[in-house]
Amino acid sequence: MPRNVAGLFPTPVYTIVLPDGAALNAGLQQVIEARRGVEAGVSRSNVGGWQSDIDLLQWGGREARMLADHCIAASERLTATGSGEPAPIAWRPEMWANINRTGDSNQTHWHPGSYLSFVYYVDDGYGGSTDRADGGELVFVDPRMPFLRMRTPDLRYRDATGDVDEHETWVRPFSGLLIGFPSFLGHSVRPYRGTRTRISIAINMIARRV
Amino acid sequence: MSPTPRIEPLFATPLIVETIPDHEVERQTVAAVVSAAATAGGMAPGGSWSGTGGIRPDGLQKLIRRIGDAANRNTADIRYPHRSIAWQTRIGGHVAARQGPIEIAPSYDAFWSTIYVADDGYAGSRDPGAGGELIFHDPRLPAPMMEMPDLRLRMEIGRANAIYTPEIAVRPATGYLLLYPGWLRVSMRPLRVAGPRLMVGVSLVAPLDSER
Repeated sequence: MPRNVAGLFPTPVYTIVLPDGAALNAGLQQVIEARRGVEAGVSRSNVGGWQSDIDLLQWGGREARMLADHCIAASERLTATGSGEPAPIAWRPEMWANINRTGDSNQTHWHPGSYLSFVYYVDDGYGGSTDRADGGELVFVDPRMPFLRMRTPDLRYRDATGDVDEHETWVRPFSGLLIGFPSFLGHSVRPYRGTRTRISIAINMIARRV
Repeated sequence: MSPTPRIEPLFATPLIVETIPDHEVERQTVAAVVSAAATAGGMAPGGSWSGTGGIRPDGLQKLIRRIGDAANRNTADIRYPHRSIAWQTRIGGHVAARQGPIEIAPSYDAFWSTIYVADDGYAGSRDPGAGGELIFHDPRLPAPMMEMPDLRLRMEIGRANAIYTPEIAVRPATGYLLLYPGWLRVSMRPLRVAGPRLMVGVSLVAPLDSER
């Protein structure tokens, strides 16, 4: 019997490997560690670790501006009007830095008030290790939860390849990775268990009509 | 210049469309039921009728078996992978004449809802203005539209029209069997031709975990 399995309404996650990541990272690491010495930081979704306020662009120097420009360019490419034309939007990035050490994590959260969100990994902290026990994965949570599982938690829908649906997707990040997603997508960070310092930058892209 | 983003589409909602090659018995059964309902006053002339009365499951056993097989092919039981699922079925009829809307009620307890299109009502016409499309509504709404409703995410790079839409329209064809999660909201645009459109809805309810 002819059969067609379509996946409707997927939630897109965008990955970009920055070609100038290595050049950016040295400067970003230096300025973020210096900032940590003078700013107490804020406590939001982070469990442990240090998180700056959202004004990184004001003190992050040239490299932070370059990262913001990458996010603006990506936001322009990843959005359109309802008819598919380039959208007349002015994107305003809000950026903050995160420093995590072993045991630190982030609770599940969303980024209300923003259209697209990004995370950039200055230093994944793994130091070349591929040990899964290092943790620290970025976890995306299916926005159809909990009703997807409420009545029959052991039953799964199969996709076109026969794979079963999962209500979480884990991403093991790497230095130089820029990952984007709709700001309504719930996400968390698994406890980081590595011995080195992890540094990342979160970016909210605020959309305003031109 | 910034590199091209790679897009990973996560957490999609399945819609399975199968075409039944030999369904004359089912089609005739549904047509007979509709005729009986119209005679009994269950369907106003030019209007539409929807309900469970009159469609005798014993005339549609072959169709129900097909639907069960399709559901099993597209379902995994991660707790009891070697057990078959004892689906409980509910069946109802949908009939629409010109301008007739159809309310397709969600089956919140069903793992799968299905629609069998006994007659698309188009009488062979390919007129795109004939209406009658089935509309599938994004279960994540309103979140994807709240921040800026006229701004859309691209779902592919390089295809200008591959952008997010909160509804997906499917023009059904006679012999189609559509399967989708029971919680998914589905509606139908008014039919712009004489019709009638004849459809049967079958909900497949899985036993609760505590009953298995």
